[in-house]
Amino acid sequence: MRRNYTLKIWLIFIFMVIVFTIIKPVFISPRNLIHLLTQISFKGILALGMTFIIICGEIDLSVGAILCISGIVIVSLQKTGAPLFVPVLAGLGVGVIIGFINGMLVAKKHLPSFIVTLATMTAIRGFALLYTEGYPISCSDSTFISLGKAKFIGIPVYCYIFVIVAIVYHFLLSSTTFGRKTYAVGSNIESAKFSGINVDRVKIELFALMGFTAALSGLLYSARLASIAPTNGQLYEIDVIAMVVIGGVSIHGGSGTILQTIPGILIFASLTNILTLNNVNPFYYYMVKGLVIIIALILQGGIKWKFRDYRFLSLFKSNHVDNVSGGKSSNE
Amino acid sequence: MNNPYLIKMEEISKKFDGVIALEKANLNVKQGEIHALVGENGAGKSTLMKILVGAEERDTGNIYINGSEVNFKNPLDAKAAKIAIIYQELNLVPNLNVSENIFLGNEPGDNKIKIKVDHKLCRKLAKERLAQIGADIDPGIIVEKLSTAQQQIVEIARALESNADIIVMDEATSTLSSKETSKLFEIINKLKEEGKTIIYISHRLEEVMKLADRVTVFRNGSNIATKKISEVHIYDIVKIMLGSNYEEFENMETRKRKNVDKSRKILLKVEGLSRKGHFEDISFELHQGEILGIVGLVGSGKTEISRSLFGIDLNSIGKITVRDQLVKINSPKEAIKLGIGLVPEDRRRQGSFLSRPIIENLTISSLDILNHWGGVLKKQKSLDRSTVVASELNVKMSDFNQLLGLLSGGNQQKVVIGKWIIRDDQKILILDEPTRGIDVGSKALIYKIIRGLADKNLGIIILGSEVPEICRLCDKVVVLCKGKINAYLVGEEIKEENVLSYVLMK
Repeated sequence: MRRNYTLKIWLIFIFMVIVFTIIKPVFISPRNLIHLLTQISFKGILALGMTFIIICGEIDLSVGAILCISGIVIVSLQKTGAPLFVPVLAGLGVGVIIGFINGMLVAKKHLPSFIVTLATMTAIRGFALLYTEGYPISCSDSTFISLGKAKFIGIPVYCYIFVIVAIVYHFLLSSTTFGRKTYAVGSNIESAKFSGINVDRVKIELFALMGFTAALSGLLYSARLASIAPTNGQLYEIDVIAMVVIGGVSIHGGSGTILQTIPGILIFASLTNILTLNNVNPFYYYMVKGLVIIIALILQGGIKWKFRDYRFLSLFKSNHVDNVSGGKSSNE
Repeated sequence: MNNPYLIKMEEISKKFDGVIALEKANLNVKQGEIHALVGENGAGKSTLMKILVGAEERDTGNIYINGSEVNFKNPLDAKAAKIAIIYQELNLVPNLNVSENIFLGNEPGDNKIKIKVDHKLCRKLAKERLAQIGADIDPGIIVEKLSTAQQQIVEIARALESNADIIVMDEATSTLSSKETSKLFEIINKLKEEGKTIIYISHRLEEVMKLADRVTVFRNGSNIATKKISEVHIYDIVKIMLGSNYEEFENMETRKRKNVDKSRKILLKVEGLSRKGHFEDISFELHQGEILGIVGLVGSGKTEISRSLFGIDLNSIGKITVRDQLVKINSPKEAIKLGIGLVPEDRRRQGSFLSRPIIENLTISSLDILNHWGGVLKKQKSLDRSTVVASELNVKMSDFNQLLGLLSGGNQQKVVIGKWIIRDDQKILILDEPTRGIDVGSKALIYKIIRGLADKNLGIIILGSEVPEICRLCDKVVVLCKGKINAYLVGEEIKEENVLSYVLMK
């Protein structure tokens, strides 16, 4: 069933490519395809990380803000003249720390991730604006700038990094205990606990991974622009969530794969690209994006076996929300 | 009268994604009777009722009520025709109060534009309605704070408020204690006296024998027989239900009880275990190869004991010794490390990952032994182990990538048990109500599995409220009453009457 969905979404993508090529033959040209790849790499990396978060049944709205703040840390630390690895590690570290904080608030304080990350997103963005006084700052490290410009067989290096991240994350999700635990927590958090999984730890690790992923994207982003502005990465979360949802990763958690997110990313990017090629007014993009998300959700349908909150059926009064027992057993 | 039957369902068929749920099923219900529907899981009872009230569409067949054909498109149509259904999973709004729930969408008052609800009137009427069925529940109380039994009563009151003449109850007693159940039966009998017709679906045949006038037995999507309760014995019904499986079930009934053998190694020793407000001063020993039963009614604290032993609830005091080693169990992970496994009472909520493949469900608790360095899964080993366990437990499935949610309840339970068997360092298995919500045929298989595990020298603890089941299975029985040990029975002392008297005795 899941395999069917993966196949379906790839077929839809191929169909789109054919249609777009007929509409605008230039779509299939190597130049345009490379352009397309450069456009999606940053959001694409975010979408790969977001796949984990959504499978776990959570959401992270702070990815765009983390991308930005990590970029700012990397670019401004370059001005101190420290060797390049210092700002790079600091930038990635900031991402991990913010992700860790998100995870702690979600797991330990039982706060909804939607609100937690909405708050961290706002706070980080505010700090970015305050620190830069609203102006972009430019990179000063020449190695760093050349990294952003470097190409291999005509394709920018950061595109390869996107591909590598995709492979690594696919492996992480499909072939490691960490991946299994992610699915388990997203599918049924209570069962996960009864199976000996440290649910809080899994969530914290997932948000930290997302933070790292966003910081990595910020690193590549600032290298490519050779600068960073406090408004960079704004509204990225919408596109990123759209990419994951288009791929058919269940928004209720518990199912989905990286192999679904990848066509999701590609479909989303091709759609933006074809609109650009046809000189459509960019204001329409938002409407199209919104429409596409809704269509994707409709196609996903409801997940049948996701265990919903049956808390109110509990027989026992309990002080711990998570400790309620004695729900209903299923029969038919 | 020219139509002897109030409800007549003829040749109803229904398929879900090619799987037959009902095949030419018939049902005839007389005016004013309590008509029970029994059958194994997936026999089609619930589906038939959903079709009756229009919650599911039928593929073929006709439905007549009072002789005239009906065709409900949704439960609202059925409600208008005075048919109410109370589902297995209660459908109350937890944060509204009792009267608001009873009158939800049906608020009384003469103003046509229902902008303002007359709460005073609602409560008054609700009180009357509840009193009418002999229930003493404050209509102002928030539903969330009620016990399940009380919620069930509120559901019934709601059904009556819609002036239903026909009330369908699906597994109404599956989570009720025996006291609550008898209260519910009083109410049902009262409704019958008022001339209401009741269709009662249940797994508990003893209840059906007590309550119903007639019973229709379902098997594999068809009605096999309809009998007058006064004319049949409970074993006749079991026979009809099980068909060819019956012999196997009978063989399971006779089992030689193991004598308590002091030479066997003690796996688990619990001394003076207490958790405030739940259980007090619990002590027992579990030897290798033994099946220990802990029996008690809902609220006797048996589930809480298992939660403490498995490291889910932490604030308990007392001594737990696992294989001569004094331990403190702080998390399920630590419990697993000590060789303890738990099959929780609520399979759906606590035991299974229905949206995940079978293999992931089987291996989820053994990830620590099924990985290379750095957490990379040993996929071949996982598959090999799963294959062994699945064939040992006779799990019926198409392949390991099938989603667990597609299996029947009994097979799901086998998978949940299987996830502990897959570990070879497993020493102690705690099963909380292992056969709840499972049809009789699968029950026999689960019993067989449990005995097989005991023969392999595992120590088994079964927590349950069904006394016959416990008596049939266990070598030792601890009887709990209100969180305290009321009796500790071994050998010949384990008899149904004996255990029952201790369960009920204060």
